[in-house]
Order: sequence, then C-alpha cells, then structure tokens
Amino acid sequence: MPVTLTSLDDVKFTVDKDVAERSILIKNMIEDVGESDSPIPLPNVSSAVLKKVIEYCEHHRNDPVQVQDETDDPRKRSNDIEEWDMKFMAVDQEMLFEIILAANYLDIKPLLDVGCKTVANIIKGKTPEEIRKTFNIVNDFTPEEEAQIKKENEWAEDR
Amino acid sequence: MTNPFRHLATINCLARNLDRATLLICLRVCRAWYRVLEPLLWHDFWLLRNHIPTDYLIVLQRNRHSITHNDVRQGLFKQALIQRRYPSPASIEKNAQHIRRLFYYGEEHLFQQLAPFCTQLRYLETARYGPEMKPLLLQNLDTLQTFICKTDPVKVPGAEPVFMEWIWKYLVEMKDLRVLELDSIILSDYEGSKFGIVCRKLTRLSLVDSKLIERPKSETEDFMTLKSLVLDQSYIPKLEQLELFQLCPAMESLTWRSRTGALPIANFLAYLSSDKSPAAHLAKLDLSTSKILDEDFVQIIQLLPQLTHLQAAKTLFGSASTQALLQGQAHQMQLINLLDCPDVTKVETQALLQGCPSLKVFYAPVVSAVGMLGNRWVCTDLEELDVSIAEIDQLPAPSFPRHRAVYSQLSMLVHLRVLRLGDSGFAPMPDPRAPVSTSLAPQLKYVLDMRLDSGLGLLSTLTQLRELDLENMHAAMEFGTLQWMAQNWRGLRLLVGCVHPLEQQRKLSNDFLREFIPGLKTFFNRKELQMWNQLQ
Repeated sequence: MPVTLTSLDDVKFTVDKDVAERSILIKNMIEDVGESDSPIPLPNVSSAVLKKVIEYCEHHRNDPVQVQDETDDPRKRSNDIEEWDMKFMAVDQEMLFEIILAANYLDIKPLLDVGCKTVANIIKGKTPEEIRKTFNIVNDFTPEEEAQIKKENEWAEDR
Repeated sequence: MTNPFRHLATINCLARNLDRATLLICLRVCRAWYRVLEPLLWHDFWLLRNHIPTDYLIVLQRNRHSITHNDVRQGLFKQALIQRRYPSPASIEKNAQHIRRLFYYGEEHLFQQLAPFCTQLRYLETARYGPEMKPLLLQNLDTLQTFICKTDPVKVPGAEPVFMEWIWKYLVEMKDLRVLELDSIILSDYEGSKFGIVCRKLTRLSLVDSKLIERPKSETEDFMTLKSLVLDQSYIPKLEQLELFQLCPAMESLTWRSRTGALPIANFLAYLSSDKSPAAHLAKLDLSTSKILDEDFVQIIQLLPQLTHLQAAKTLFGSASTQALLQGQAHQMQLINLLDCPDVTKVETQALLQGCPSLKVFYAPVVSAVGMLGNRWVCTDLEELDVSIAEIDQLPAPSFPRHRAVYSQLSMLVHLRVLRLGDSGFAPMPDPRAPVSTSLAPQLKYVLDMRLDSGLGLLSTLTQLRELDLENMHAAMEFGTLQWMAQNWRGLRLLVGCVHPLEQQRKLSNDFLREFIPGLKTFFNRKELQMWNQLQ
C-alpha cells in the first residue's frame, strides 16, 4: 500500500509502505494512526533532501534491519562505504549535512551511519582549525586550554 | 551552513566512525565536542604488558637473523625499552567510569588506580588472574556481557594452563553475561551445577585448550540461547562434548577440533540425524585439522541444509564433498576454507569458484591459470581470496599481456580486500640477503609475473584492496609498477612478501610504497607479521 509524504515546502511524494518504513519515525507514525490515506507531514525535511532520502530507502528497501550488537567490537567496524552509497553521497557539503540531519530526524540509522562515515573520511587528517572551518564552528577554547587538552590526552596516541 | 554536529546523536554517530587519531584532534575543536567526545576516548582502554618477558626476548634473540624488517625490530624494542605514556591520576579518576571495554594484560599499578572507578564495564579481556581481579568483577556483575580469559600471547609456548577455581561464583552472578571465552584455563565445578547455570544465559561459549573438571555428567535443561560453541583442543572427553552439543538446540555456529584430529564422527553423524540436531539453524561449521574422511564430509554436508560457512582446512575434504556442496548449498555458501587439504585439486577449486555465486571468502590450495581463461568464476562478490595459481606456463601463447587471462579473472573481483597468492611451489629464499639463484631463474616461468606489462595493470579495479600477500612469489617489481600501486591501491594497509629479490632494492621499494601509501605496513614474511601482531 502506498504512503504519501509531504515535505517542508509542501511537495508530496508517494512511496511504497515498506520503503517509507525504513524510517522508524514514519513506521511509528503509521502504526499510531493506523490505515489512512492522509499524507504524513515531514516539516523538518525539504523536498530536495526528501527526494534523496527516498532514493536511498528505495535502493536499500530489502536490506535486513540493523540490530544493535550488544557485543559490538569497534575494532571490527569498517569505514568502507559500498560503491552505490559512495556515489549517492557524492553531493555538495550543504546537501550532505542536510541528509545527515534528515536521517537523524527520520531515524534511519543506516543512512545516518553512512553520512557520518562520509564526514569522518572528510575530516580525517585535518587539524582542529580545518575542521572548524568545515563545520562553521567557533573556537571557544583559549590557546592554553587547547594545549592542555592535547597534553592531557597524549597517552591515547600510543594506542 | 547547516551544522548537523550540534546534536548529540549525530556527534555520537560521527565519533563511532572516527579512528583514534582523528578523535583526539576532534577533542580540540570546541567545548561542545570536547564534552561529548572525551568519554568516548575512554570507551576502549588497554593495559598492555609494560615489557616483553625475558623468556620471549631470548626467543627473539635466537631468531634475530630472521627478523629483517626495521619496523618489526624497532617495534619490538620500543615495546621492550620505552615506557608508555599514561593518563594522570586525576584524569583516571574522572574518566575511568567511561571505560566499557577493558583489555588487561599488564601495567598492574595502573590497573590498581583505575579499577575502583570502573563500574560500567561491558567487556573484559584479560590474561591476569590475580586477586586484584576480584573487586573489579564484583563491582561489574550487573554490566559485564563479555568475559574473555586467555594466556598472554607472548608467553613461551608450552606454558601450563591456569587454574581458576574462584571464577565460578562471579560468572554465575553476572546476570547479563552472554559471551564466555576461555583459553588455557582449568575450571572446576565441584558443586556440579554452576556450569549449567552459566551456559544457560550465554549466546557464545568458547573453550580453547581448556579443561572443565568435576562438572556434572548430565544436565537437565537445554542451553536455549547458546548459538555459538567453540571446543578447540579442550580436555573434555569427546563423547561428553557430543552431549554438550545436544544441549544446544539453537546452535548456529560450531567449531570442533581435537588435539589429535580424531573426532567421533559416527556419533556426530548420529547426532546430526537425531531429534536434537541443530540442522535447522547450523550455518557455520569449523572442523579444520580433523581426520574426517571425504565420504563422511558428504554426509555432514547433506545433513546441514542451512550451511553457509565451512572451514575444513587440513582435512580430507575432497572430490565427493565438493560435489555434495555444489549439489546442496552452492547458491548460499559464503565462506569456504580448504587450505592444506591434500585431496583438493585444481578441479575442485575451479568447480567451487564457478559454482558458488555468493562466496565472500575462499581459501584453497591451488587453482589453474588455464581455468581462469574466459572469466568463468561466478563469485564476483569475493572479498578474500587465498590460493596458489598453478599451470602459468600452460597459458596459451603468444599472449599480450603475458598473463592477461589470470589478471583479467582477478580484475572481476572488484570487492576484493584480501589477496593472498599462496605458495608458488618453490622453497623460500633461505637468506633474505642472497640474490636470486641463477638455477632458480628458469623456473620463474611457472610463477605469475607481477609487473604491469604482464597484465598487473588490469587490477586497477581492486580499489578496496587492503592486504596483499606475495610471500614466495619471487616478484621483481620495477619502479613503474610501484608507482602504479601507489596510485591505484591507496587503501592498501598490509604487504607481505618481497617486491624485489635483491635486499637493497627491496628496501628502497618498500620505503617508496610506505611513503606514498599512507598507513601501509610491509613485512618480509608471515612469520614477521605474526610476531608483530602478538605484540599489538
């Protein structure tokens, strides 16, 4: 059964229910409301971003649902991104950040994960100042505080 | 510009995908990031040995001539001689509460400092069994999910197992315990009930070179949640091991190995055919090093319709088993390990590579270069391949590039992360400083030529490659090939083997590769790599 989603700028998207339910937020809303033709409003997501999110969900509609591994070993995590996802994420930085925000709001963990992996790969090798410029963040440390943090955590460089 | 990293959830997700070096940099970006990220720095905490034990140093000294690589030498002595940096006592007091996974192999004085503040441990891996452990276990009874006891990997081989009588009462009280792994440990269950109580909450039990004494001969309740069981050279009598299997109806993964290789296979087959069989769930089976006959493997395969992972290295797996696998589970097999199986020839290997489309990991003794003509392998999702390529000299000639058939087939494996090209069939060079013997040169026509003009350039498709093992390949790579590697395999992190037979040239080549492929480590052979890994 199709589901209609309405974006921030009032654009309607009709998608299959299983595609829409890749978003836990939407899945819960559908369960709460029950069978209904009413469009589901998504006031935090613009049409351009929602279009991309739907594209992702359609491509991954048959993926198994991710289960939080209670014995998750970070040493086994990979920052590798599969080829389709890599091409999907080859967008300008503004769109990348909007996709991450949307994935967080819509509770689509795999999309949030791949977005953050993409950003992690971008900031790898950058200095703190370069990261601030990338994310438009104001430095609220004094130089002495920044030096103190570096010194206090030197031990962690050994591992 | 929108900033998604003002939200806790997105910062946490980002942090999970950062390596440690980048995480350290991110601490200094701003106060909000520091507050969120500093605890994450402490989630995994290692207390490593503070020096290499004397007996291990003696072993290293005896083998010093076989350690040729500077990185390994420097790394070993750095570990031996240079003190590590530690967090300050104030930092420990503030942050030890954030430790979720603790790896305790040494630095007892530091352990004593942080143990009182570690109250939220989920994972503990240790080679220490002294009385200092008891308070730590007591204060984490409600949170520990994984408990791993093993011997220190740098102990001299043959060390006696450790007797841990006192551990049971803690294991019983750990209400969230799900994973228990014991290596070279002796446990006793004098009351005869604790083993069952503990196993009934586990999802994974691993007993390697370990012994359970005084345990009850029969249990009355199944271990309903146990999905993964490893019995590797454990001292439990073999028929009792089978009784243990029968208590695990939900078993999905079984590793079963004995010291001698002998397993009670008739009883095992009877069990797989019985009401208690886990055949409905068992997908992963590891019977490596066992003396199971080919025809017995056939029966095992036929009794396990859900099989997707089969480890049968150093067994008598052969032609009949291969056919059984192809007839039953070909479409679903994801992992097949047949290394050092004397009855697995190029015929069986070719059949599996042409018949199993879902393979992700494949290890086998040998494949024929002639069989690689025409790109007939269906397993294009392969991520790990370990195989020797034989009959290179029988490729049709003339051919340009010379070994195009082999490289063309390998180039289809675009998801490959690990490529080990196995033993060329020739003995390794006895002295790494010796040049290639002229008597060896004519035999090089039987070996895959690892140069661009022989077709290596076709492997530019392997953009995911992380590990390349050329040990015994007698490669003689020119500078152009090295440049090509640096351009195309930028994700390569491990190179084992020689890229050139002459020592000086090899050193220069490795230096070049390490400079232009960030993060790359090079090792002369797998023995050096193993020694390096033991000290990490």
